[in-house]
Amino acid sequence: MGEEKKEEKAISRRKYLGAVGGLAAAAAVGWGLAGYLASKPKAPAVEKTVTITKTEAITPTAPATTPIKKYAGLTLKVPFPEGWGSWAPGIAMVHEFEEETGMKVDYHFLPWAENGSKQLLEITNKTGAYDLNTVGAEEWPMFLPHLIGLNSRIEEHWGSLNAFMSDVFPKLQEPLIYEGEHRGIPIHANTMFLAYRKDLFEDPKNQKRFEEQYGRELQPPKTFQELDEVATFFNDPPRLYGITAEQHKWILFSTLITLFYDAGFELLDKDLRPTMKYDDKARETMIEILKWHQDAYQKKKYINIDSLKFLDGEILDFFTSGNAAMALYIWMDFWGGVPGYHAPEVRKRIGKVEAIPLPTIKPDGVHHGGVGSWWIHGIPEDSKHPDAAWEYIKWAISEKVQLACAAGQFPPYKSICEKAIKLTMPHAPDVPLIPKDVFEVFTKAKNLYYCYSANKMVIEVSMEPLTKAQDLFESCLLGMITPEKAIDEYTKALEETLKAAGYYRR
Amino acid sequence: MIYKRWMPLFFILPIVAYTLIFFIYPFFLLLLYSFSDATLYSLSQNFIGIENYISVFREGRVYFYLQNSIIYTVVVSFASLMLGMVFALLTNSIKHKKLQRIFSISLMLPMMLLPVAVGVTWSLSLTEYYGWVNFILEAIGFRREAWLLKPYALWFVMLADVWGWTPFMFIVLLAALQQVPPSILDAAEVDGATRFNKFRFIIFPTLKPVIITLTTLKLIDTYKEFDMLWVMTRGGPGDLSTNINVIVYKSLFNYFKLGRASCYGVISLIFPILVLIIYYFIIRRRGKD
Repeated sequence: MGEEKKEEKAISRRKYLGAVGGLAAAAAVGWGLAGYLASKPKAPAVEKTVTITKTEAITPTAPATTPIKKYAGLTLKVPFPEGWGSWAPGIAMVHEFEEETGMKVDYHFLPWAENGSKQLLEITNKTGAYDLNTVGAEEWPMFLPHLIGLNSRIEEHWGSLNAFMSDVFPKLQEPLIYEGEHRGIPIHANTMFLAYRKDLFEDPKNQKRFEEQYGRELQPPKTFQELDEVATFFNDPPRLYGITAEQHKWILFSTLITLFYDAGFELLDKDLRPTMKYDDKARETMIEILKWHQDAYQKKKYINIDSLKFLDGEILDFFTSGNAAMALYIWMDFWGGVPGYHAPEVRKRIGKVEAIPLPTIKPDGVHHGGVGSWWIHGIPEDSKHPDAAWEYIKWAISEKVQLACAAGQFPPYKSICEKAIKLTMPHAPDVPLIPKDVFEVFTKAKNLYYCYSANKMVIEVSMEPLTKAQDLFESCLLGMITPEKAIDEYTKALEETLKAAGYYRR
Repeated sequence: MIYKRWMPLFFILPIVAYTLIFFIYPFFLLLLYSFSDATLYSLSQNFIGIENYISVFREGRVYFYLQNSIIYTVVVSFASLMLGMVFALLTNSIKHKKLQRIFSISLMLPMMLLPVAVGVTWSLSLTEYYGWVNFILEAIGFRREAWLLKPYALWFVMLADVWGWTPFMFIVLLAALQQVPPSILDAAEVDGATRFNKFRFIIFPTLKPVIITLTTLKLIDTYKEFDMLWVMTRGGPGDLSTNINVIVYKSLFNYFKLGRASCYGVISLIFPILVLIIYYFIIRRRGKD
């Protein structure tokens, strides 16, 4: 009996201790949670990386935003890609918009890979989760049917549709229109360029050696033939690679297809057939592009193979650490949006970095305009506050915001771009905010998902065929399949997709 | 009488409701979508019968994705089990309790890391330029390689997975090992049993139920592998390390084809159902025995 009592006591003691322990644990968790919530900042902390120090008084074409308090107290839900360097200065300025309008902007920062699909899911399910959409060029076509028309708003703000259209870059105009209505307002424009280490190119020893070897002056390359020579000349791995290239799987297709477009070709002909299959010259050009890259990675090895896996930041790190003489397919986001290329410590390590347009695959050096990237704001049909969203859009494309972001993008409006081009980097006054030559080529850039010869947006190009192309072209660059096979498989997938979507029905 | 008859049903109602809402309904939804041309970007969807299945099997790549899934699952599960067993036996043989605890804790560390963090770490470790793996290989006379860009990249993801999941097998097996009565082992030793015989005739039969359950769980869990594969290779190079889960994700979030993704989803259920059937028969036979 005594033993049983002892046991009971022990059990009740254990229960008591257990309960106390449980309470203590719950209190600790609660305390931690409360501490976390208390310490959570009210607005996302975005570091302003770029400030404009030099501005010039030019009358803007795009009208200035008049602050209105009509929507004061309202919270706008705005989805945005997380950690976007180009737009960090804009995000940091949002408090100005909030003060001017009395509205609150609740940014939903989404991982890059899920940014489009997450918004698309919300929009097609009509959840009303977001008041506006922030969409990249690849996903833009899929959003078009779900966005409201903006013609009347544009007319009210710009005076006329023509005034708006004349301020947007020519090749960007068509993809914005769906069933006669403008559905989007561009907030960001971008292109790829070649960055190179000026000091290496200007080093007299290098110049002399290069001239002896190739019989010409050492110059930044204008064609891929020149690029091949310069890359071979500098290549001394693992100390120094000739080139590092921003070619990870997500953007591999864009990097190769931009050369194809720049050579004067389009993805689809006027009958929406893949040109790489039906036009011999187009096919030869694409084979040449793939072959060049395959050799660069596999035979000549002057591009570090890790490029095919490194993300944008890793490429920046690789290049600014002094591991490559040139960096190919660099986006504007990393030109000045992240001060990496021009930071004083980088300058000390690798000297001055300059940017030039991507070389051309054809030896004539003529640019027909590659593929540009755009980010667009649209208002979904299920937006709870479309008018307030429009106020935010007007603020996002205002001159002060666009100029603040210009170090990491082209403002997509000519009037603002013309001003931005005259400015220099605040942290590197000898570096232009926007490299002029790169900008010149960009003005001809096209949208990959719009067939210009048929005047038609072909949504399906951006889906299964795009992912298949990424897989196939990666395999090709790794030497697993031939360029011909990669093109055949890709065009087959493209044609099948377009056929299934009903494009070839008569 | 009625009370007695209906009361048990009342008690199982929550679990039935849970199963219906969270398993049966989504499963039928998956099945339904797999017979449609639903996409993420369009509101309309049409019933297209088994067209998705026909096109998936006609393209033929699905066999390769299934093969990758099964190879991955079997290799990772059994390698983790073997290594876990070896580590558990070694740890159990350490007489010094404090040392045993230190050894156990240090072996458990990889299990505490997020699979995504493990994936990123291994991904960087296997790069040509920065990776420590190549530093070591180069030091002993081999050539630097970008291992995750090789056709056999899947095996490196398996390696990372085994590294991350062996501790789980180890900890469960160690706990089971410590339940083996020492008196039986001592008696066997007195009777002259060798270490191997002790393992074969005493330890292994005692651990068998744990091993069966653990293996079944691990097989099903590994078959669901997505995170580490996506972080390390994104199904590449090309689509050489794409398994059935990666293609479900790609179909949905890259191709935006809900119907096609659901079709792959249904196909992906074949293997776990087979494993569960085998498990059921093993358990039933053991029950009869």
